[in-house]
Amino acid sequence: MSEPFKIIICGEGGQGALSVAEIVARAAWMHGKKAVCMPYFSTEKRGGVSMAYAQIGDEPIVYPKFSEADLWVALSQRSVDRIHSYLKPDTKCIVNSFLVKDVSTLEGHEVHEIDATRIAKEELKKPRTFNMIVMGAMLRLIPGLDKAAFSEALERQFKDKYERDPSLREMNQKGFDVGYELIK
Amino acid sequence: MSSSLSFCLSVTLNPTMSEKMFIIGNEALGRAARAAGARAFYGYPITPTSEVAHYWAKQACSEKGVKDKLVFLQAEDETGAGFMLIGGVLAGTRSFTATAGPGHVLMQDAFAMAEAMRVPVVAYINQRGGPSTSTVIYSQQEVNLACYGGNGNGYRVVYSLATLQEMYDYGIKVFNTAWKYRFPTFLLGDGYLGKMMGEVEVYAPEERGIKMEPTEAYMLERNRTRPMAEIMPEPNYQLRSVDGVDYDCYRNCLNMEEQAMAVNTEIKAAFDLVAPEIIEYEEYGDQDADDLIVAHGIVSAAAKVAIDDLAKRGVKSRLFRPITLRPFPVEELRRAAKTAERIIVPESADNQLARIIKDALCGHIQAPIVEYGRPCASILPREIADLVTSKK
Repeated sequence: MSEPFKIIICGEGGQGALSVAEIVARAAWMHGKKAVCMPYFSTEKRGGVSMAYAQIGDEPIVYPKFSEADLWVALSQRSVDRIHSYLKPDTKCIVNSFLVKDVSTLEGHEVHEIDATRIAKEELKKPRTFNMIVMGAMLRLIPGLDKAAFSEALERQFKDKYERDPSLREMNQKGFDVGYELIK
Repeated sequence: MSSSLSFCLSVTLNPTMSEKMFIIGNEALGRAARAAGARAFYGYPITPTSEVAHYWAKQACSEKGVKDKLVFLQAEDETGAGFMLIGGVLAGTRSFTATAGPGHVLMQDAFAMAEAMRVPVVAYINQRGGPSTSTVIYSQQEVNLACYGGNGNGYRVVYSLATLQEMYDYGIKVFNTAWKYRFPTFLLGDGYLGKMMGEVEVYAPEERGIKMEPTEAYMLERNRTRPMAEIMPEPNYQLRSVDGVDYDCYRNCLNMEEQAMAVNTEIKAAFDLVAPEIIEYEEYGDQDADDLIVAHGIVSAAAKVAIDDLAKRGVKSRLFRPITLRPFPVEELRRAAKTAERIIVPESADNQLARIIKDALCGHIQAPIVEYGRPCASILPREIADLVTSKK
């Protein structure tokens, strides 16, 4: 792809939108792609909406912002409005259906509603796997990145944490696998 | 003899080998300072530059950092930090600070003093919203401040950066410019560059054949390894002597108009003399194009993307990017602008770069200058492309 693949992700502060963008971009970079990511940071912390940009491509990417996303991820209802202007006709969307109840403004787009919050809490009994589930689902829609490469990137990203607590590896991988299977 | 010079060299010879990393711009700056052999950081944390301080604090507390006697000093505010920075430099230590926005405003008091005394302070500055506290995010509104802040005439060196890699490359270079020419030297980035994460190749200066300028004590003359006359970079800067001790202008408080004028004239003469050696600029695109975009910093990176996109559509355009905003590449811009039919100036500020350009081109060109000022807002490549394709 000559044009970079553009991802925007938005959630409530603390949901991990920034971490997801960073891990996805870093994974792509480790896989030999060019990648950049940037938070849309502000003074707000708790109670605010946080948003991040990530781009993945084959050529160096110099400008961190863009106006139209290829992959659009909203983790909460407020996020849907916040990043609505980044939609173009063929944008693919993922929403966290636990918090996003109204997807009427996304009509006409390919929308994947995944209940990452509930799955993390009730099925995996580990709320912390929420991000992994979201990333697993996202990976299905990002061209040029396969599951094995991403797992390898996770392994390197969390090397220190895994050494301290090996059970974290299993937990993350499980969340990631579950997310990956949510989108076919 | 083994005092400051050999010590600085031992810090400089960092065993880091070239390595590609995936890091944010602020970390690249911190790593650059470390690779350059900087020893002391004086500052006060402020978004979007705080991670430079975070990085340095960790380094200073590490085993290697303790061994290298790194200094991390968080002052009570940026005014204090700026003056502590001057103290570190006067003692002969390669020192720096990192700041943004309102912190950058406060530091101008110290920077003006550094300008008066020719003290090679180094500052990494990431522009954020303004005026006042405004946003913590992004702007290009600190051009006036970086270039002409303080109550002097703007005798400082200002590099405007466009990419993450430049954060590292110029993060090293800035120390050499400061210590070679003895002017306050600033890196002007922005919140995007500070916070964005991407690939940066880090290396030790010696791997690239970069020799670090030795530092030397201005005061504490007993620590000097060379006579003061050798330290001063150009012969026309007057060296004064009192009771057998050589010094240059260590005074920022003068009694007579004549003295003040003499000192200012001296500083100007020195700045004008070295300016041609310091000036840097970049040209991009089809040099026959009628439309000349003049942009700096990350907006120039966006302009390059726009130029490439336009070329695919058969539209010619070109870019002139001043890398040094002070001293400004005046002659080079005049040459580039001579053949332009239209000059387009996009900037995330209102009339800051444009004013410098108008000053440089006044009386030299007939072509219209189209100003596209977007104070504190991003400028996407598409916006720049639209400016080029819009009706003349």
